[in-house]
Amino acid sequence: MPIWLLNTLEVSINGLMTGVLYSLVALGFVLIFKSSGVFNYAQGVMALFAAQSLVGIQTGQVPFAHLINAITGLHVSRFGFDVPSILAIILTTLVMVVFAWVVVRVIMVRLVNQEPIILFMATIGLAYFMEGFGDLMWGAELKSLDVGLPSGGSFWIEDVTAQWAREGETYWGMYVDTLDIWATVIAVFLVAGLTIFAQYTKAGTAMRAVADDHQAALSVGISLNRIWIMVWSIAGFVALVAGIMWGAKSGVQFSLSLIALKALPVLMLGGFTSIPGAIVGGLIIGMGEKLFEFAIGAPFLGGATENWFAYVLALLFLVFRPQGLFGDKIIERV
Amino acid sequence: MLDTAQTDETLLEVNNIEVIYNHVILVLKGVSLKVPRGGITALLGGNGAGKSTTLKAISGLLASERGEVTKGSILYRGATTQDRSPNDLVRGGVIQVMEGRHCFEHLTVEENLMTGAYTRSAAEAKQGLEMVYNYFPRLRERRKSQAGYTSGGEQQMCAIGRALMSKPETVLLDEPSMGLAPQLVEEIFGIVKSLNEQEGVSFLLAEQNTNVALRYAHYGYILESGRVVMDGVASELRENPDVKEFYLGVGDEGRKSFRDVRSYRRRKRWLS
Repeated sequence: MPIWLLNTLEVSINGLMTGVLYSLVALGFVLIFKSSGVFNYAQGVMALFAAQSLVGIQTGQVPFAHLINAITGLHVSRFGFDVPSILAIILTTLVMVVFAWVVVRVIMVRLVNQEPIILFMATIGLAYFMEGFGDLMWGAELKSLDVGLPSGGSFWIEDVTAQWAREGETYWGMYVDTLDIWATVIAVFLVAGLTIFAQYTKAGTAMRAVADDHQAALSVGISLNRIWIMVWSIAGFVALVAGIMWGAKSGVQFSLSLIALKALPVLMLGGFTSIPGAIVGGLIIGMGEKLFEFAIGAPFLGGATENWFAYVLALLFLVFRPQGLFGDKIIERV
Repeated sequence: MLDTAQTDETLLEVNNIEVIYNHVILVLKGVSLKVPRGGITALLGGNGAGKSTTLKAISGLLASERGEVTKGSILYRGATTQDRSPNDLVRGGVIQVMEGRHCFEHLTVEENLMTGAYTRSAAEAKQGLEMVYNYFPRLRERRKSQAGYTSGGEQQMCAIGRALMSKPETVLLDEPSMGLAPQLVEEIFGIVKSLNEQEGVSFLLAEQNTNVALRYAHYGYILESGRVVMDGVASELRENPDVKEFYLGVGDEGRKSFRDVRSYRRRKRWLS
């Protein structure tokens, strides 16, 4: 293979894997939007909060240490033991379930049947509250997250692909991060699990029913609260997975919550109501922005196109296919 | 119609309820009615009379529309239903089929039916599905289609079938004839009748189509501007001159126009 083709391939693969991470964030949005009609602005902050909690639990941090110290005059910061990763992940999942319960009980229940914009504003409030709450609980400093997933370039892939170059050309092989590979595998399992859950289980069917028509779901005896708590918990878990992946890559700090902004164009592309849409949308955006940067952006436009490419693509979609690639068609009988 | 199924036992009792929406809009101004076990009770009246509100007050769906029962009481089998969630009431045997069908459009017909069995076990759901398909053979044919793409009649059947999946004792059926061809209306009322006779399901039926409703029901209440203005055995209501004139459209001297001033005054007097 010629070098340019190999390079393009490498960029595409890395783009796809970044796309998987976008998809994970978008997935959380879709779940909540589908089942409660709420565009959850706090999804990114949920990922940050989940990652903070995970690191905090893992390293045995005392929650609200600053607050406790300020009030009591003590100097506590750590319990002095580490929690194994698996246990920490389970505990963090529990934290997210409790969080879901509180959100539904305190916010959602009171805002049933309100305008979407009011619900949206409520989630903006929630996002800022959580950001502060997370910092208060676990401290605001940059933390590194390591749950034992391998990271760094895969030598095996590098070695194998180095052979693909034509005779006489120097090619060092492709750089593919093993963390990205793991993220992809985990995302595939997560999505498969969610799809099976939504399509074939009683709770999943109820979840889709709630997404279609709240009132009718209520009338057949489906408990909206329970479904919402379930959905917010799942979204919290997805946020945790996204938080682990992004946190492992770039550390746990405020900017982690901004990945939510990357999910927006993904949603416009894939459709706000479609789980496969979130996945495919993420892949297209991830690959698209890397390829565009590689082929057009860097050589001709002076680079840094990755920041806006996704939004331009999303705008095009809004013009020509507003419901996105896979979004629910609005069924209207005449 | 023969009153074979109806018994003397009162299942549902609504005592002088008042309903207010959004803390200000008074919709029901004292509605009382009784639904006997095994009967089909019709709740009649024009647009905005308060039929749907009455049903929602019973099924507990009012809360999600910011409505509230401020006076009176609703008793089901002697126990108050106030503060019980719709979920709880469905478990207790009361389910509402909402006006306008409200099928889950993106779910298949069978999935729609299965949601009705949310409060039941898997075995009961399977049994229920067979029963519903027996009463509505058309649903069996369309079971794999998305409910949003089925016809109005099929959606109504789907909505009723979905309610039946919860093994209800009492079904609150809101406006089943809405937007359907007369032939379909007869078909659906026929099925309601046989469900009542064979499965022993009691119905409280809100309906604008007085003519059809009174032919199938045992007892009827007429609602006007949030009040019950008349009630009686269905066959007697059908013979009542006022009902005939204002709801069935035939007066003593044949059909009348509402432009007729005398008739209008009489109607007003009767209502206030």
